Amino acid sequence: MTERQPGAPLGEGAGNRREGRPEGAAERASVPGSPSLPPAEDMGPGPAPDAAPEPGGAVEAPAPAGQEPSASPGVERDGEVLRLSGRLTSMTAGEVWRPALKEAHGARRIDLSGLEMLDTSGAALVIAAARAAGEDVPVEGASRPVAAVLERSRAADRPPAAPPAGRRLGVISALGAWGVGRADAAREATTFMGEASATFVNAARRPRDLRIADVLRHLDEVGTRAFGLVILLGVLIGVILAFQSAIPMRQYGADIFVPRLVGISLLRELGPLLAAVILAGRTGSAFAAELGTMTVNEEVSALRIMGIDPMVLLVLPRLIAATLAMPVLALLMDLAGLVGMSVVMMATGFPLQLVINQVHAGVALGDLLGGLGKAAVFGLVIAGIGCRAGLAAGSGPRAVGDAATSAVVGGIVALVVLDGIFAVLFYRLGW
Amino acid sequence: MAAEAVIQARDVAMGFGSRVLFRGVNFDVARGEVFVILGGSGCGKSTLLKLMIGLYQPTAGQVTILGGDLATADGEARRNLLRQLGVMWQSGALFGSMTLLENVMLPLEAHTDLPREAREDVARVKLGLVGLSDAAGRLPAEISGGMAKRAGIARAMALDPPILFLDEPSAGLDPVTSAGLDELIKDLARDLGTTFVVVTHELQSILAIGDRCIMLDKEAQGMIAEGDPRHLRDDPPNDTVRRFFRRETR
Repeated sequence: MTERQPGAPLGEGAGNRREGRPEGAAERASVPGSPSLPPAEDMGPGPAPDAAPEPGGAVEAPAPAGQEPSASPGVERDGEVLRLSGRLTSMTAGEVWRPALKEAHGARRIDLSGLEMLDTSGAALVIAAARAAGEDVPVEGASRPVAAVLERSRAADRPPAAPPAGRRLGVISALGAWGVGRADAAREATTFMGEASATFVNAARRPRDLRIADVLRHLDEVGTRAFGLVILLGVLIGVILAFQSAIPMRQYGADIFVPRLVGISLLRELGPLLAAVILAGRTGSAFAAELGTMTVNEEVSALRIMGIDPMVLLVLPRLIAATLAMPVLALLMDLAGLVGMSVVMMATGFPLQLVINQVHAGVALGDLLGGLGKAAVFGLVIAGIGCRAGLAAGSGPRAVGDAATSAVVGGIVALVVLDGIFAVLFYRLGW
Repeated sequence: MAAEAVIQARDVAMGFGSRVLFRGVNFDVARGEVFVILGGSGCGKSTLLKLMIGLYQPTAGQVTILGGDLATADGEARRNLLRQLGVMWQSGALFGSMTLLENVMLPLEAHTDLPREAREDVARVKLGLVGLSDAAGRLPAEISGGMAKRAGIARAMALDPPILFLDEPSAGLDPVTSAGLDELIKDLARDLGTTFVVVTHELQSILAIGDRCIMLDKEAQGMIAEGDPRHLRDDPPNDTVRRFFRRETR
């Protein structure tokens, strides 16, 4: 291997001196590419042209004779000449970047003879200064190692390309693009619903295709593991509802009707709705993240190539599990809410039997069944949105996060819209 | 004359739990050389690299970089040492939410006081050095594997460190792209004088770029050869080295 020179110790920078060159005797040269100056290869005596520059991330040039090496870079405007000196590296260039560009305006020549060290970050500053002064401004006086780094950096430098004209969208174009994007998303969602429906029908015809073990696993994840959270929130919601309604109703002596009010609210509306919000936040996002990761890792593509329908293997078990689990979660939320309400009523002096009688008198079986039916539909839709978001994930690490966000936001919006539709439907049916 | 050693490994041993990966590893990496760590799969090449950059602590022995030990250094000393090295990860490890330009600008933002426009100029030069000027505005998901590796090198070079560590730079690349990457490493070593420590088991790359190498072996649980890779190929010191360079199974 090529034998190289010892370098500067840690803390003194990465570069070091080329052995065998007398102090101050470094050849000074212009930067290649400048019309008035020779290329580095033509520079006078010194190290062989094919010799490596000083090892390290930066190259160091001998200080001019009679000058002490300085640690900091310097910028000086001397008439029409801009002089850069000292050590110009990634660690020091920040000190002089803006002053150098300011001083460069109007300069007719850039003098690097005082430069003691240069790395490619420092070279970027020299290039930027030359650009600020004017493209034809000669850069002179660089030692051979400095000129080599500058040459390499200059060859690598290209000003940023202007953005393609097609990307400069006006407001109308942007609105159009947004509309087309929404239409595409709606089409994809419709396609997904169609595929899911067809998969359901096919699974009903050929139940062997359905992997029961997967359904049970998802039932556990969606259902039993959410029981604790649902019970906790249910009790708290029951307590809050009871307190909030008891205070104004007591003014009219109507606090005896609080159990009816809370019972109807929970069974018809809040129980299914809150359980569905928990499902959207907890399970919809998990489905999207899991399937999104599989999509990003090309596992879904692998399934398709193996002739296995991802809808059957991945989506159907999740949809069935969520549809079955949601009524149970809603029922649990209802019961927990009633328990919370009962605690408040008992604490305010009502006997438990009276509370139970009031709930029994005020709530019909249809209220409970209507709520549980809604819950099943909520479960199906939330799981479907989560699965679709996952399967539609793009590429890269952001894709999974985007899919999870899309699943939660889409799920909750769909939930509220569906609930409104159910409210109108139940009203029309007289339930 | 003997070149200064920028990395020194002395009696280094490493293992996970009761499993010994290697022991008694000794070598020096000279300033400015392309040093290759080679060996078969599972022999501990990447682990040795992670020991050198301080991600793992050896179970015995010591690795010093530019006189400091990253495994034990802390505070400003560790920060100073980390500024002296750059790492290109096997997967590229580019940040997916950032463009290539922003990826390269990140270390400059963390370690220098360059103004934003300066960081952008410097990052463009680094991308230009690896031939990615035209891809500066692209996201990692929008580029090929070879481009991701080159972008990884550009980011590793952001602070012009004197030592660059490359983990499997040729893995998964086609022969032409791989040869282009080898050329780039040689060019950067020659033009910028950077010291390279390269982990690879790609024979062509080893012979194309390596000034010197060490070979680890899973069964021997340590180093089984050291020297110029071309010499090891032509005059293998043992059967394992011979089989490796001649691609023989027995």
